[in-house]
Order: sequence, then structure tokens, then C-alpha cells
Amino acid sequence: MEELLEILSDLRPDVDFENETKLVTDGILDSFDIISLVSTLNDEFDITIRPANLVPDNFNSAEAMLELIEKLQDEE
Amino acid sequence: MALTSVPFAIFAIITGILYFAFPKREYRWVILLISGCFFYVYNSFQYTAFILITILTIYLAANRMAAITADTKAAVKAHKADWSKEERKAFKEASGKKRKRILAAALILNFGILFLLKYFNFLSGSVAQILGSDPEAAPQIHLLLPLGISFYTFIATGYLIDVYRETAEPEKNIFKFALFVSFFPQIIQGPISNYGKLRDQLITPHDLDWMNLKHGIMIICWGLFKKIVIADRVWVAIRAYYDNGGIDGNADAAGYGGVMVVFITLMYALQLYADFSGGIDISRGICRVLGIELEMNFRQPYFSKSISEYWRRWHITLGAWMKNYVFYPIAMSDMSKKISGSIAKSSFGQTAAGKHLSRVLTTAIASFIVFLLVGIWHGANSKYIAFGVWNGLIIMISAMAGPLYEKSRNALHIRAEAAWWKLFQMLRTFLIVLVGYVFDIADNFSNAMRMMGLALTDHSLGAFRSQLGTLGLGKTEYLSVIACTLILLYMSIRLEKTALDTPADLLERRSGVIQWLALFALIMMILILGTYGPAFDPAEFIYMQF
Amino acid sequence: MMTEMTETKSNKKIRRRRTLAAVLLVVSLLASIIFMDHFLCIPATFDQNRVLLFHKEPADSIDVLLIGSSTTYSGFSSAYAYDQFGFTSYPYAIGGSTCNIWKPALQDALRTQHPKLIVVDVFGGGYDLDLVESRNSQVYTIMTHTPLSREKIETAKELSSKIDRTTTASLLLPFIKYHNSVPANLMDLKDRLDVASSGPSPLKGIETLTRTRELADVDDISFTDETAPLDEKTEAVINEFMDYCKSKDLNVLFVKYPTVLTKNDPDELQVNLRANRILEMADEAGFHTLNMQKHFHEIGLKEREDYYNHGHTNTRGQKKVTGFLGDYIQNELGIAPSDLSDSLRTEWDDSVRYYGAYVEMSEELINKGDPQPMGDSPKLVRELKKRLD
Repeated sequence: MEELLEILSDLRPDVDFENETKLVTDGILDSFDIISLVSTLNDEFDITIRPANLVPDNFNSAEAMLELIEKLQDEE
Repeated sequence: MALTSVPFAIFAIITGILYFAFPKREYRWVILLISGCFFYVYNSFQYTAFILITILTIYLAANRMAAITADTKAAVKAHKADWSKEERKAFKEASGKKRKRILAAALILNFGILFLLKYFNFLSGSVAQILGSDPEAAPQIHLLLPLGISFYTFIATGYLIDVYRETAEPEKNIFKFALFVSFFPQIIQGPISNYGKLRDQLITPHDLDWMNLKHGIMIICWGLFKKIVIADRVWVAIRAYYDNGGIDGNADAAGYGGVMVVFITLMYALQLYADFSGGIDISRGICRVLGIELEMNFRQPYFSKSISEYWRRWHITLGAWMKNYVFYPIAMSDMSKKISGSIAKSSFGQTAAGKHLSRVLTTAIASFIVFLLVGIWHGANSKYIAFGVWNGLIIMISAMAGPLYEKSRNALHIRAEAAWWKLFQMLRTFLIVLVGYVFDIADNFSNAMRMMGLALTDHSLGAFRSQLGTLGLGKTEYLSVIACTLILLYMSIRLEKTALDTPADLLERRSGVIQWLALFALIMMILILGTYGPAFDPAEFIYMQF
Repeated sequence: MMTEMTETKSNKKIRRRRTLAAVLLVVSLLASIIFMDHFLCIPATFDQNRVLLFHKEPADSIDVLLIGSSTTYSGFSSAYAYDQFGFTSYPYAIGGSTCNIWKPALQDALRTQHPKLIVVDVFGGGYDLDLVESRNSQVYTIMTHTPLSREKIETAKELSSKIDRTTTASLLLPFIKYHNSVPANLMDLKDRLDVASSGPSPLKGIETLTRTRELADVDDISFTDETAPLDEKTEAVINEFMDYCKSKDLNVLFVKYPTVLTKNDPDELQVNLRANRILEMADEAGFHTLNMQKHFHEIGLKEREDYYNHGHTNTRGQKKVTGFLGDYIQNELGIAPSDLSDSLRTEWDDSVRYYGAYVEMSEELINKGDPQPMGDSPKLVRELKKRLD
């Protein structure tokens, strides 16, 4: 989680990732942020996030993102 | 059957009554399907074959893909013991390729039909021009567009891609699937519904609910207000602008000046929003009465602070479709990764600019492609392509110049949260949107450029004042447009501040008496100020030819 | 148990309130539409008043019914005719009417009146076809004041197929066409309610303008019997009207009112020739006809004294034309006045007095050089009453 939060705050230092739960549905993260984030996460966690995974539920909070990462890691 | 016509109202009411009166609740969705079929055949009889092809091919493709997935899983399970990891992977890959081929075939077929019907004539003419021959003599398909083809094609293909990505279960019942594709409130002009969000709502039976009925009617009335009180009235002026030859003029009238270009563009901005969002409201209101929540397609778009935001507030479902099925796949494709990677590895990539660009360039290009497609989606004309390019460039540049922009803002000590700064952003965005609209209004690209040139150079107010009278609207008409626009503006600000969806939600917070009075007043305004009856020519519903 | 019972009770209360609110909404909307349809749609003009006040006349009290356009109500004074000849009459005429208006006007009038003679002003049949096909406000004036009936629906269907920019629905509910005028007509609401609540008017639908003009002398070519052909569609309308009159066994006189036609108005002369054609058609069909244009000098009309414009007489010319036409009706056609009840006689005697005041006021304004339209309205009646008292 620490690593993830670091990546997130690097990307968008102005956002409170520890507490936000509507990052996508409230438009806090836009498409460009998502793409940037996805490529970074793919590299850092050795996973392949696909467009199918880009649903708000998976990216609305840091917890949700961690869940997605772990799920994808299991699949490999 | 136009959305604001009496026959359509009767049709919708009868459908509602039949739906709620039908005793076998679990089959109420069949009523919706039948009404959709009736509506489609009534309006577009000769072209019914096209939607049937789409329904059939997508239905089969989705189920076939799901079958392959199921078979693959079963096979892998069965051979758990005797297959190696490589064998398993190879088998899975082969299945994946099969599914991809089916997806590609279905997409090419359906988009091919759309493309051919919509753009064949334009391309044929363009090719002829390039080859130096007469574009008029080029081969042409003489067909109108099947009703809603631009919308249902996207709805159906979105579903198919979701099934491919395994984010949606395929619909096993072809009739239920047909309902999803042909559902009449969305067939005329969207929204482009998402299967996951809509399907269950369509199939699950609903009962007549007071709140839904009340709110549904309020939403319909609000949509009618926007459409026949504001939009259709303003359209008279825009139509007159066209009939009088625009800036070129014609035998009966001299051309219009620069101030008029600005004025007509503003009128167009008002008309387009009121017309499109009004129609969507009518559709959403009907669905609300039926107990179905259709997706929002507009969220006070002119309050956007950037073009990116604008496309998240205007024709929301088209933007969402493009994002999910075009933007993300392109931005996350291997090709994009390669390009980003090579920039990052190059010497340029070691600079701050280079680092930024390596991350942003491919997404910026993906956006550009999206907006090119959005432009093309609107129609077969060079001006729509220009429209798409204009939006795409703005977004591309704002993405790439992002940090530069932020730096200069900080240097000027401008707080991002300041109210006046937000206002400035809104006005700036609105201006960019207006430029895009000039492309819509103009006959073609060069006409658009000349219009903008005039707007910048010709500021004769005297000419404007005399030209104002030639637009077919009298002083009282302009006054009622202004008054109603102010009402619209007030509502929009309230919705923006409260983050509620519709004026019905705003009213719900008030007492019953206020709600009653507001609805009464709204209906009276529609009855008195509406542009209906033998005194008016029927206005064309802009998005119906999509 | 107790909370359950009160809950269903309050549910019932809520449901009752909601049903009430919904019903109230629908009822108030319908009531508003009907009110606006009756009082706020078609502007309060003298034409409107004339038709409204016609319906105030007691049933079966009109001996002579005049149908037509502005030449009728400016050229004929019912009060003066009563004074001179004793028969009662009323001009069911709306300005600018074309021949499409004759049948609906007659149909509407015959609901309450059974006149001994119907006088039809043929001028409205001489217009160009596009005018005949497009003039529609007059039908709305008639239909607004006609109660709903099967015949009205049939008429609405017929008219909407003949006249542009009319629909059956809007002819039955003019609100559909005129709803946009409602805010503007709010200013006239008081006048409209005034007329609607009044009894029969002593002015009997009269209207002229208080003015004379330096008109050129009437040209002899306007006295011709020559005809010009009518458009196919116009002729069909007129034939249908004549068939209708025959089917109802009506006694009809087709007239042309005298106007100051000169060589300088080729269009008007053309209309005159077409009007002659209509008189010819009427004659062939066995109806009475009277071409008053030919009798211009015999009537004693003076171009620069009796007319407020080349087509319409002022009070001076009106008396002369009424005198001539009334005499023709009485002596040539033998229309005898009916026996009037006491109340009717009082009413009509009164109208003679009012007409006297009307002429007096008109003369004053003409001599002052103050051109005013003087049409039948409660306001004018009140003003004239002051003079009489």
C-alpha cells in the first residue's frame, strides 16, 4: 500500500489518496491520469491492466486499486 | 414521429398504460419490445433490415465468444493434469485469437454498414474530386439513414466489446437483446446506453410509482420547455440565416456581417443545447415514468472549465463510449507503449520536457484520434472533420502543455480556486466551443474560416441592428427567448451548485404546493409560448439524421 | 398494530391528496386553456365584436342577413335600414373575408336566425387565388364563437383542406393556432369580457372611418358588365356555396357594393370583373343579383364626400347605399318587415337613436379632419349614450 500511495502522490500531489473514495466518479482523476497511472502500475507491479479493468469501481480509491493489483498478480 | 409531436405523445402514453396494465409482470419487457418494434417500423420501415442485421450479428457474435470462453475453460480444466503450462497458454491464446476474430468480424460488419450508409457519398465525391472528375457524377448511394443507426450501432458494439472483455455476460435471449438495442426512447438520439446499466432495468418489471410518475412528467415538461419554447423558436432565426445565404447572401438578401456571425453562433449554442438536451430529457422522463433510469447525457456543459471537461458534460455517453472503446485501447496499446518507451529511452527523454512528453504524447494522440472520430460521427462533411480536429488539437495541446500551463499560472500567482479564475476558464472554454460551432454552422471549411474572419474584423453594430429584423423573429419573440433563457440559466446554476440531476430533483426539496405551482406554470409556458400549431413550420430535429 | 393502522391511514391520506393534486392540475389546465381560447386568443377587434354581438341578437329576429367583408359593414347601416324600411338586418361580415368565409358564416348565422333574405357581398370572391387560399383569420373568428357540434367538426375538416395554415384541430380550438398571442391579448381582456357580458348592441355591428379623401372621379369602365374568369378552385368554392344555399332553399341576393374604381387600379378593376363573373354565375343559378357599381351615380354617391378611401363609404355614403339597397330589397324583392314584439321594437327604435348620435359624432370628426375608426363596441355605445342623454 505504501508503494501505491507513493506512486499516486507522485502523479497527483494535490489529491488526498488516503481518504478519497470517489476518485473516478467525482472526476478527480481524469483519463490522462488513469493512463499514466496504468502504465506506472504495470511497470511497478509487473501486471497488465487492460481496458476491461478500467471501471470506476477499480480506481475509485487506493484500496480498490490495491485489490485490482493483487487480483492481477494472482492471475499471472 | 417527432419526439415532440402529438402522435408520439399518444404512442408513449399507450405504451405506458399497456406496460403497467399488463398482468403478467415478468413479461412486461415484451410490451417495451413490441412498442420499440412498432416505433421503428412506423418511422423507418424500409430500413428495418439494417437494425435486424445488427441485432442478429452482435447477438450471435457475443454468444459465440462466450461459448468459446466456456469451452476453453472446460477444456483447460479437463486437461489440468496432462497439459503443460506452455500448452495451456497456447490453447488459451488460440481461443483468444478466435474470439478476437469474431469480434473484429462483427465490428467491421456493423461499422462498415454505418460507414457505408453515412459516408459513401461523401467519400465517393471526395475521391472523384481528387481524381479530377466531377464529384456530382460520382457513384452515389441514394438511401437515407436508418433511424438511429449512429446510436444503436454504438450501443450494440459497446455491448459486444464488453462481452469480449468479459465485463458483461452475453444476453442469451435474442428478444431481450433486441429490446436493448431497439428501445425506443433512446433510438432517436441516444443516450448511448451501457448494457450493464440498462439491461436489468429493462427486463425487471416495474410498477407505477407516484414519485416516478411525478418526476418523469416534470422531466418531460422541462425537456419540452427547452425544445419547443426555446430551441424551436431560436431555430427560426438560424434557419432564416441559412435561407438568406449566411455571410454570402443571395439574390433576395445581402450577406450578414461579423456581429451577426457572433450572434448566430451564440444562438446556435443555445439552440443546440436546448434541442438536444431537451429531447434527451423527454426520453429520460418517459423512462422515469416506466421506472427506468436512462443515463444522463448532459450536465450543464457550458459551465465547463476546459474542453476535456466539456466532453465529459456534453453528449456524455458518446464521450464515455469513445473513452472506453477507443481511447483506452489506443492509449494502452502495445504500439503506444513502444512509442512512449522509445521517447523515454532517448536522450530527449532525459530532459524534463522529454520525460513529460514520453508519458503524455501517446495519450494526447489517442485523444486526437477520438475527437477526429467524434467529428466524423457527426457527419460526412469536411467541416465536421475540421470540428473534430479543432477539439482534438485543443485537447492534445492542453495535455502536452499541461505543466507549462500550471507553471505560468503559478508565476502569475493565480489561485486555481479563485471564483474569477473559474469564471475566466468557463468563458475561455465557451469561446473555444463557439469556434467549434462555427464549423457546424458553416457550409464547409472555407466558409467557416471566412465567417471567423468576419467576426474578428467586422464590428458594425448598425448593420447588425438592421439585419436582426430579417431573421424572422419579432421583438416580443426575442424577449421571450431572453426570458426563457434566463430561466434555463437559473436552473442550470442551481443544478450545478446542488449537483442534482434534474429540476425535478430540485423541486422535490420544496413543498407540494410549490411543486404543483411550478409544474402548472411550466406547462402553461409550454402551452402559450411553445412553437407548435399551424402558425409555425415544424423544425427539423437536428440529431434525427444521425 | 396501532402504528400499522395509522400508517395505512396516512398512506390513504397521502394517496387522496396526490389524486386531488393531480386532478386539480388537469382541471385547472383545461379551464385555463378554455378561458384563453375564448377570451385571449383572437384579438378584440371590431370584427370580433360584430360576430359576438350578432350572437346576442334574439333568435329569429333578423329579417335580412348580410354576409361579406368590409364593404358590407361600412356600406350598410342596419339601424338606418330599419328606420327607412322597417325590416331588421345584421351584417355578419368580417374584414378581408374571401369567398371561403361565406358558407361557414352563413352556417353559423342560420343556427339562430331564419332571415327572409340573405345578401352576399361578392367582392370576396374576386381576390387572387393565393389570397383566397391563405386568408384564414376570418374563419377563426367565426369558429371561435360557434359552439361545438358535428356540423362544426365537418366544417372544420372542410375548411382545413381548402385554406392554408389551418388545421381541423386548431379550427375547433383556436388556442392551438393563437396561443402565442395570449400574453399580448391580456391587455384587451377587459374589453373582451365587456363585450362577452353585454346584451345586443344598438349599433348593430356598424363600422366606418370618419374621413373624406380627395379621390379621383370614378371611371365609367367600372360600370361594365364584362367578366373575367375565376380560378378553378375559387369557382368551385362559390359553386359549393350556391349549392348550399339551394339545398337550404334560401332566398339569396348577390350584390356588389359601389366603390371608387379608376383606371389607376388595374388590380382592383380585375377584381371588379371577377365579381361580375360571380354575379353572372348567381344569375345563371337563379339567384337575385344587384350590381350597385353600375348605379354609382344613381345612388348619388360623391367621390370626395362619401368615401373614406376608394373602397369604403363613410357615414354619408353609408346612408346613400343603405337607402338604395334597402329600397331594392323592399320594393324589387318584396321583403316585408316582420311583426316585432314590443321588446324588439324598443330595441330597434333605440338603435335608430344611436345611429343618429353615431352620424352626428362622425360628422363632427369628419369636419374636424380627425379620422377615427368608429366600430361597434361597448366603449363607443357608452360614449354615444352620453350624447343622447
